[in-house]
This record gives sequence, structure tokens and C-alpha cells, in this order.
Amino acid sequence: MSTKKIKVKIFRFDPEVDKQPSFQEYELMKTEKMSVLSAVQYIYEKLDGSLSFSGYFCYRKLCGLCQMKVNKRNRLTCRIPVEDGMVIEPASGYPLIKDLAVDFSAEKEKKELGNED
Amino acid sequence: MKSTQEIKTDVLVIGGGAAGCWAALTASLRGVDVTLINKYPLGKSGTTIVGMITYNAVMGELGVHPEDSPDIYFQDLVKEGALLGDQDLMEIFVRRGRETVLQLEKMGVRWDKVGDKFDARRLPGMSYPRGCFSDHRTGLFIQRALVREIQKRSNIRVLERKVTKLLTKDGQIVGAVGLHIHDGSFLKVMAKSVVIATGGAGRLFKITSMPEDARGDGYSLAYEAGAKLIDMEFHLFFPATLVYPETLRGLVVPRGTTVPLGARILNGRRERFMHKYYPEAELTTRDKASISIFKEIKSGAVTPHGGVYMDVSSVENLLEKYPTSFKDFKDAGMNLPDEWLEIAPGLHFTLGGVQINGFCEASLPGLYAAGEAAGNMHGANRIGGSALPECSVFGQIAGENAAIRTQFIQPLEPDRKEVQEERERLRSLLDAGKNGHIRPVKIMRTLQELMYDKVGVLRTGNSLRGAITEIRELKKKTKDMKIHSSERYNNEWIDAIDIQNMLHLGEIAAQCALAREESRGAHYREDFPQQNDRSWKKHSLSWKEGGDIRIAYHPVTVTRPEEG
Repeated sequence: MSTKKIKVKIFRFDPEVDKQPSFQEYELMKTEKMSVLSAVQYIYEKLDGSLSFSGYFCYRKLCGLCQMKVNKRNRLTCRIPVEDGMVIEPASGYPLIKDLAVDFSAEKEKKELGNED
Repeated sequence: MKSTQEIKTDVLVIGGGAAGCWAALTASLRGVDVTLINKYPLGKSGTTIVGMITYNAVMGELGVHPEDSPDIYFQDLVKEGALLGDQDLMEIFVRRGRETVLQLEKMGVRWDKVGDKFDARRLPGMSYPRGCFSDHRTGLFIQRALVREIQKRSNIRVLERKVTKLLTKDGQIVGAVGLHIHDGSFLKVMAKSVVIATGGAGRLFKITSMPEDARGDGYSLAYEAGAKLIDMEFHLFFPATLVYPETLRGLVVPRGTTVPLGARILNGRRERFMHKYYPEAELTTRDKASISIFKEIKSGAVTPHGGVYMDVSSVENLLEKYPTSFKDFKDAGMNLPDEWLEIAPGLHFTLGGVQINGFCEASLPGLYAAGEAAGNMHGANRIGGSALPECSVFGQIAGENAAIRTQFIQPLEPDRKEVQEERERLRSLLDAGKNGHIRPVKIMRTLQELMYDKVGVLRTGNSLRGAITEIRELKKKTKDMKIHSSERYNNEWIDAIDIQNMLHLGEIAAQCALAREESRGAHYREDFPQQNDRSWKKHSLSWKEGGDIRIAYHPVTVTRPEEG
């Protein structure tokens, strides 16, 4: 098992407390095949319990709730390998709740469900 | 805490998977006011969407096996459930699945067909292939179709909340309260009927194929309200779920179908071992495969991530034959077909649940349950492909009867005190959390480990007694939880609420499993390896009384004594 030390920057903002958003840097041990989502979960479990992000993931590319902006692009983070220096922000196009948590059931989203597959 | 929102409704449905959606839709057809509450975004969470393929139904002339019949399905269910399933529920189930397939087709689910006949797959335990499917994502398509229908109905209100408590008055259910995870605001719902459709409790265990939110909320809500749970010692494990990479942990690996095509299972020393436990080796049944793999893991011959290997390199056209699973693994960085998979048994289905009758009524007036949240249909084991149609059939029945009840009762105003106390309980977790020392997620991981090791695939009197002692120690630790104080999307707060419930569910499972001194279906006691019908062909009931877990037994409902 190869592990290596990496740093990622994560968007932090609690609209009820903070005047403006900031980025927080976390250092973690990247294991082989670690996804961005696994890294975020690792940070929550081991480093910082105040980090907010969705409480549900399917891990199968079906739910879309692991969507975050990684290096300026919306991605499904359960399938993206984490890399040193990555910048992780909340998915754009949805109302922000706090940190990486956004409102995925916001009104405009409902249209998407209305379409046939 | 912020404001309290108050709403009144006729039927409150908790849970937005297939069972909950069907309950809401069916109730709404009777013209009553319906509120559907789901913890996370509706249609994008829950367990239904990850229900991959099969949906069992006897399709008669519309299917590829017209020789199949409800009677044969019934016999299969009785047998697979090791005589513990209630046959009155099975009678309903085997007859009504077909209609739900057709209803879903009208709603836009495109079932796979051979010509104009519904195609079907055969899974172990089926006398005929009867697993209908829609591509490889049946659950997802069903979920989406149901959500589209719900959005068309003006008398269904959809809310995203976490229900934390059912409200009772004079021995009946009168509503529920919950938390808005987004902003920490509080919701009080006054309802004439409440349907629990919250799925299973896979997350009680370290390895599970269920998603993050399957923490058994509904069992805890019912238990705390005083309703009876049934057969809570029965937990079905799937032998081959991935343990690595992290992000794929819990995904089911097809074993039954790939082994005949050349897949092999090896231990951490890269030796085959399955023959040591059962002569059929890799080809053995699901429960025996789980036991073999679990024993090998216990022996210490493990892979770097604590499982055993599965080598699928000699399966021809692997990626084409299994487009969902293996392609998905490749997608996540696995070098397939050559890289060996690391697998272990994972919790797949919670067989027990809220005790219901044929009207889906629980033991408390006003309370209904359906789908995996309900407990007594399958019995001690479950045929693959029976979970999704269970959600449809019993979701409909629960919704219909919950709506009918509203015609006969006057709504009762919940006690202000009960609502206020729950609000304070939630808030006090945050207040006390500032000075606490142990993170809820840490207690949760400890519980998941010990449940997997001691209350999982393999149980003994000693392992179960040990589990109960450890769980009681963990319960004490919940008085010293460290939680940060924000009310906005605070996962630590949610973990703190859930772990308290999960510890009770863990103890209930361990106590029921300890009492049941036999092996039956998914419950395997190494110290009592035989099925003992004379003493144990009966349900266990568990409920809360005076703050403690009570256990009693209840006969299995038999409609066809000749089936055993």
C-alpha cells in the first residue's frame, strides 16, 4: 500500500457566522485510489468535524449528491482521485447551505427529475 | 434553536424510497392530505435507487415463464424464509406483484422484454425466473418514475427533514417531530396516520451494501414510541462486497454467476480456501459463502484491507457481461479484469423490523410500516429480488389503510410538553457537545466494528454477551459527546442523534440473537448450528417498556400448514 502526504484546500463558509468565505488547508495521508469524496470524509472523521457536506452518498454514480467543484469544475467526487494541491468547493448551480453542503433539492433541480432517462 | 414550523396533515409518510412513495401516492388517490418527509433530497437518496436489478413478480401469460404461479412463489418464500415468514403477508405479496409491474410501466419504467413478454432473471431460491428488470438500474428507474408521479399530485407535500420522534397520545400515534438538517429548524407535524417507510439498518455494521442514510431510523422511531419490533436478530449478509477502494466499499460483487465462469476466491496468502468449510467451495449458497469467508478472515489470512481476494481475470467478457458492477469498479481506478478484488461479507438486508399485519398496521393505532422497515414477511432469509416488489405491494397497502383510517378519527392535538422536550433534547446535544470529549462518529465506528465481529455473519453466546457489554459501555460514552455548535448542516449533530438510536438497535439485535439458541436462515449460531423447529419456529418480539428492552415470542402466521 503506497501512501503519501498531500494537501487540499477546502471552501469554508457559514453564512450565519462568517462575513466572507475562506479556504482552509488540510494535510492528509493519501492512500492508493483515494477519491476526493473519501478525502473529504477522512477530513470529517479524523481532522475536522465542523466541515459540512452531504449526509448521503450512493457511491454508484446514481445520486449526484457527491457533486463538488474540484479545481473549478463540478465533478462527481466519488469517482475522482484526490491529488495534492486540489481546491475543493461546493457544487456550483445550487444554493449554498454551509461549506460543501448545498441544497440539491432546490426548485430548479426538480425539472431534471421530470425527464425520462 | 430556530423557529418551530407546525403543519397539519392527514397522512404522514416517513421515508421517500419506493415504499414511502407508493404509500404517499396511494393515500393521495383517496383525496386526503399527504405529507412525505425524506431525510435527504427525494429521488436522490435512500436505498431504492441502489437496488440494482431484480424485481420479482409472477407475470403469468405476460411473462416468459407462464408456468410459474403465485402458489409456487409462495412455496419458495416459505422455504427460503426458513418457515419464519408470516404466510398471510406472503399470500398478499405473491398475488399483487404483477399489478405493480404494470403500474410502474405506465409510469414510464421500461422493463426489459423478450418480444412482448416481460423478461426475467433467476436468482437462488426461485423455482422459475421471475426477477423482472429494467436495464441494470431497476431501482433507480422505479424511484424516478414514482417521484415524477408525486410531483403531479397537488395533495402531496414533500419536505426534507429528519424525523426524530413520533408523537403519541392516549396510546395512539398523533404526529411526529423533526429537524431540518439544512438550518437546524424544528418541525412539528400533526397527523392522523403515520407510515414508516425508512428502509433498513445496514449501517449498524462495518461493511454493508446500504448507503449512508440506512441507519434504521424507522425501527428506532417505532421502538421509542412503544411499538413492537419483530425478528430483529435476522440480518442478511451478502458474501462478496468490496472492501477496497474506500469509495467503493460495500458494493456488491456478483459471485453466484461469476464463479461458474471461472472466478476464484483466495485468502490473503493467495490460497484457495472455500473447500475447507463446505465441499461445494466457491459454488456454495449465499449464507454458507458468507460463513466461509468470515471464518477465513477471522483466521487472520486477510488482504491488506481486511478481506479476501476474488480473482475474476479468467471470466470472459467480464466488462460487457456486467456493465454496472465491474465497469463501475474500473471507473473508480481498479485495473480490471486483472487486479484482484478485495471482498468480505456485507450487510445486505435487515430482515426484521416493525411488526405489521395484513393492513400494514403496526402494534400502535395510527402507525403503519412498509418495505424493509416492516419486519415479518420474508422470515429468516430473503430471496434475491423480493425487496423492491415488497416496497411496492406493502407501500400501497400501508398508504391505502393509513388514508382510510383518517375517515374515522378526529385528530388529536399532540402534547405541547412532549414536543418541547424533544426540541430541548436535540438542542441540549449541541449545548453539551461544546464540553464533551468523544466524537459521535467514533462511537459509531466502534459500534459498527463490534456488530460486524460479534453480531454479524457468525454468532456465539460469548460473542453476543461480549457485544451487549460493549454496547452498554458505549451508551455511557454518549453522555460525553463532542459536537461543534453550528445548527447548519451539522453532520456531527446528526451522528449524535443517530448513534443513540443505533446503540439500542444493536443491543436489541444482540439480545434477540443471544436468546435464539438455534440457527435459522441468516441467523447462524456456531454453538447451536441446527435449526430447531420444535422450540424456535416462532417470531421474537422486542419493545421498550420502562426504559428497557423487553423480548417475547409470537407464533408464525400459517395459512398453508402443508407448506411446513
